[in-house]
Amino acid sequence: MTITPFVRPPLSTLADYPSLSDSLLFQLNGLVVVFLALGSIWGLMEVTGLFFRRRRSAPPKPAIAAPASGVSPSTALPAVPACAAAAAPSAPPSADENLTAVIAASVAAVVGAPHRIHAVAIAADQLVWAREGRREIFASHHTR
Amino acid sequence: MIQGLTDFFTTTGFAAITWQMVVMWLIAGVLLYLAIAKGFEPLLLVPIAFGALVANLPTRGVITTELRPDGTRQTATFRIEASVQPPGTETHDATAPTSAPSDTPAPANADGARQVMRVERVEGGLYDFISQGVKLELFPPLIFLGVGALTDFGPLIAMPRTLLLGAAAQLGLFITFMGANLLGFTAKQSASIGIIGGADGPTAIFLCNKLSPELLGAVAVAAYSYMSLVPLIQPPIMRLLTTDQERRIRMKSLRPVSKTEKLVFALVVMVVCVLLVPDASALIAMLMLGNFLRECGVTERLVKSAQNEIINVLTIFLGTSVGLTMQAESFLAAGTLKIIVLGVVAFGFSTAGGVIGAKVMNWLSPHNPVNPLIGSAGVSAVPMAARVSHNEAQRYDRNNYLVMHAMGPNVAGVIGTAVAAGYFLSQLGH
Repeated sequence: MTITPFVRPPLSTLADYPSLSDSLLFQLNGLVVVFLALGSIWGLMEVTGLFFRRRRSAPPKPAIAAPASGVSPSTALPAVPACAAAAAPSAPPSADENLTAVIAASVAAVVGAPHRIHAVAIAADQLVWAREGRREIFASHHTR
Repeated sequence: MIQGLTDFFTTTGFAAITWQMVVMWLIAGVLLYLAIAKGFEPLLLVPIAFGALVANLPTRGVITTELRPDGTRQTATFRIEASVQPPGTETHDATAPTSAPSDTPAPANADGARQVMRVERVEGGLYDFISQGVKLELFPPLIFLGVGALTDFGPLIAMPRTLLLGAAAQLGLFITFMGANLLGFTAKQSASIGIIGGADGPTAIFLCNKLSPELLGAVAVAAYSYMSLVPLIQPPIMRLLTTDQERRIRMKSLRPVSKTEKLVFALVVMVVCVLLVPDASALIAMLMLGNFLRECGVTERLVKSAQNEIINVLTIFLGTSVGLTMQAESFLAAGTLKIIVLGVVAFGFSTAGGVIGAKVMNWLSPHNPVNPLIGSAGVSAVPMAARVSHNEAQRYDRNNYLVMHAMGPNVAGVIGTAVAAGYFLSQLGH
């Protein structure tokens, strides 16, 4: 679709060699247009971001039944054998049980030797993990 | 026999070599050295340098050059031989090329009677046709499709106020416009030179081709050269404009961004930008189409093509097409040197604009400061400018990881430069 402007832009007749005032006005208008465009997007994204943040912070619907054992990553767990996932009952596992199985599998892969997991808890200083992740990512890239 | 050999020599390319060509070979050699040995934007500098070398060899069947009445040279022109067919003798052979598609009315003569033209022969070299991708403004938007498919706007969506840093970093474009104008360039040429400050090659080519195609080679080479020199040009300006304390500012972690938000962002950017600057529609629409394909998650094959095959093939064609415009007669001029100087001025002011924009933002919102070093990433050399911000911050605090925060203004700069190009086109391109 072609667009025919209703009003001819006022500076469309900018001379090949405009005066200093015309040139300054032209630049100022350009900067205003750029700020207007990106500022509008900023405003719209703040509004949509607010909507999405609220939706995320809303309490989740209880779609999954609470685990029978009441296992939570933030609380001490009874001993969990490395083969816990394999020995799971036929009922679909809960999110916490899946997490426990993943942790158990990870420990088995890293430690290897016979072992027992006595407790699973969130690290007190979560920044340590974030920092370690970032260190690993940046160590794997060559930045100039 | 000697006469025969002499006659043969006149048909070889040696007889057509000029000293200007030799100078251009050296320039092409320097560009190849920078690209291969120094790793400066090799994906673009290699095709450009190779194209420049080919342009300055007495080739046949590659590209045609015509001397214009104003003394400049027009590259990539091809000749079409057509004949007007008498009424009633039109062929209906579907394979026969005709000058007008069947669904459009044929041209009429002075009496209003329909005329049918039959294309007998189209004559031109390989790049006479391939370069139409630049002349018809096809390659830059299609490259933007790939750029969109490669870009993650998540950091920008997580911290949308950094969009303003992408806007502030367009300062150099407009300041250089005035500088170029004072140095004797016309308004259209000045806009084409100023856009170098945006550090966005496809946009620079897009704008320059529309406003002042005679400068295309010099502008493209300056734009891509300075993009590759971002790690050298930006840090001194960043240090000059920031205090030690500001460089150590740590920013809050970015929030996670959902897929839906990314899809909404692509649509919002496209609608807002196209409504505000319709002249930038081709660039913005293709950028956001590529990004939408990436984020929607159901077009994996298309995304892979856009990220790899499409952008790679077009980069080869775009680079060599631009290089082929660097013929000695037009490139070895005082204007080229001015463009090279003005390009670095544009880059410097754009970097300064972004850093100052970040400082103003901190002044207005002191409780949630941004590290001013990310402002320099508002020039859209993605992702190199963001890396420079990160590396510069790490010189003062090893545990300050700014790269993801800097990606926000970095990708905002891509949008900002496209909007600025749209403004120039709307004001000067008609």
